[in-house]
Amino acid sequence: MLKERHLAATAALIAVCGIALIAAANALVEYKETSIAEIDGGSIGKRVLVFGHIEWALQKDNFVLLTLNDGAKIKVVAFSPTKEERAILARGAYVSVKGTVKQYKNEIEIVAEEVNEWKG
Amino acid sequence: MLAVVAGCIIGTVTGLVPGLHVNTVAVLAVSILRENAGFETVILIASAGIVHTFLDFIPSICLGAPSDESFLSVLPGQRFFLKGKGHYAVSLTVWGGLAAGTMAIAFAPLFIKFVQANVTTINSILPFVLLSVIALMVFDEKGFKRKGIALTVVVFSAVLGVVVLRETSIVKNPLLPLVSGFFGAAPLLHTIKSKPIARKQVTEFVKTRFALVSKNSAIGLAGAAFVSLFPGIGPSQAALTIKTTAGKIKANEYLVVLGGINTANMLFSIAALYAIGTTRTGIAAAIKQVIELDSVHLPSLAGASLAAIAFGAIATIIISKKFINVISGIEYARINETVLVILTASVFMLSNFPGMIAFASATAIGFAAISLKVKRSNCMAFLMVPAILQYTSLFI
Repeated sequence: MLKERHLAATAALIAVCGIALIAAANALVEYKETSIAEIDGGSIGKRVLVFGHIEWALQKDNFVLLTLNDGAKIKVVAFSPTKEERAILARGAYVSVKGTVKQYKNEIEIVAEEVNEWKG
Repeated sequence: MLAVVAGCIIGTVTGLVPGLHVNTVAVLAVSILRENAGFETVILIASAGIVHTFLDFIPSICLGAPSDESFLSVLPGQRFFLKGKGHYAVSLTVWGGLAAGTMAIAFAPLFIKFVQANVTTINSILPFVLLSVIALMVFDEKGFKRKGIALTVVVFSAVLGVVVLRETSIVKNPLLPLVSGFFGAAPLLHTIKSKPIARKQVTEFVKTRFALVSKNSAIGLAGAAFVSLFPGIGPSQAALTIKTTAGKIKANEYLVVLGGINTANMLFSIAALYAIGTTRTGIAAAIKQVIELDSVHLPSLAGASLAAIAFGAIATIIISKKFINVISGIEYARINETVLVILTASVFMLSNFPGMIAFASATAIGFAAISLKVKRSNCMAFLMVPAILQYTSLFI
């Protein structure tokens, strides 16, 4: 028969598993700092951190498309950017981009998860 | 973690306030935070939604003021409440939610693969499934008169949904006034009028058989997996379908099933959003507005969901045990009046004048359904009929 302490113990165990999973997910989400020139087909699916200058940017309702340049160029797409991110991207400044390398229509690009202003 | 904690607190509040639906809060939150919403907002919304599914049963059982998802718990749950066993009824729903919710997360990868592989088949049978559920809801009403009223509610809700949700609609944020009207303002108006029933409740934890929990939470899990694939079908309709097909089912078994469906449906709807990008609940729709779910988000989302399930279970048992005798005596009218004013103001600010008309219409239809004692879930036709028309290419 299941008693109140069984419910409490089960809930506590589930909570511990949940918190452990969150901690593990955060630890595994590490962005490898890299230059744009080093990003190739083998980087697809990897999470990267790149720095560069926004050479071109196109702002749409739900996303921003830009070309990032650090000597080499790569396309970056940021879905549902926050207000702060839009402000940074609009200025065409130097930025750091954290994201995942993906392939879209035979072209390698970075799907950004976070964009910040980079003071260099 | 902060987002999880915040979500748990919000879910606790929305669960305990009758008529304040977490879908309404999620849509409101996204409308307000729009440009600043990120993955943390998704975690917050998901956590709030999960905790809400647990706490929601307390006012449903104690106050006879069902939310949309738990209205079918009123009969079996209230039976226990009137016998002084309201805490036992709540604990059954908690066991269902705890077991089915955890299993939903464990089975989510399988569910996602299944949905992705069968999306065409699912979409092709969708109109028939939705029509069948609408027919079931109407014919489940007792007596010819109530069936007629239910059908009228279905028709009015469907027309409102078709007009407001079409692409060329002039209503801003169309889902907000409809969800707020049908499942927010309507029950709030109704509970303002009603008086609470006070019964002395036993708060000793009643032992429950493992077989009862395991079997019925599995049924709830299966029911939730099924309904999360179809728009407009919520846990109440799923429970009704199970009740109709399974035949005689005991009240205690039914409450475990309902608790399981409620929580698992929330999780599977998020999984369905990831799998095929379509939304089946207000929570999923709100998440979709914030972010496009990616595989990198899933581990954190699963972890947050587990934490929220645990919090929801424990919070519900503690609050029920400590406060059930207080809650059942509270004059909720004043609280509900305040919530109603806030809700109306929110719709006014986030929608437009046609949106206020839609809100008033939805409130009127929902209130009429409650007052005429037909299931308020008949109002879900506002989502189901446009979905039927969309999937038969008739909806513009």
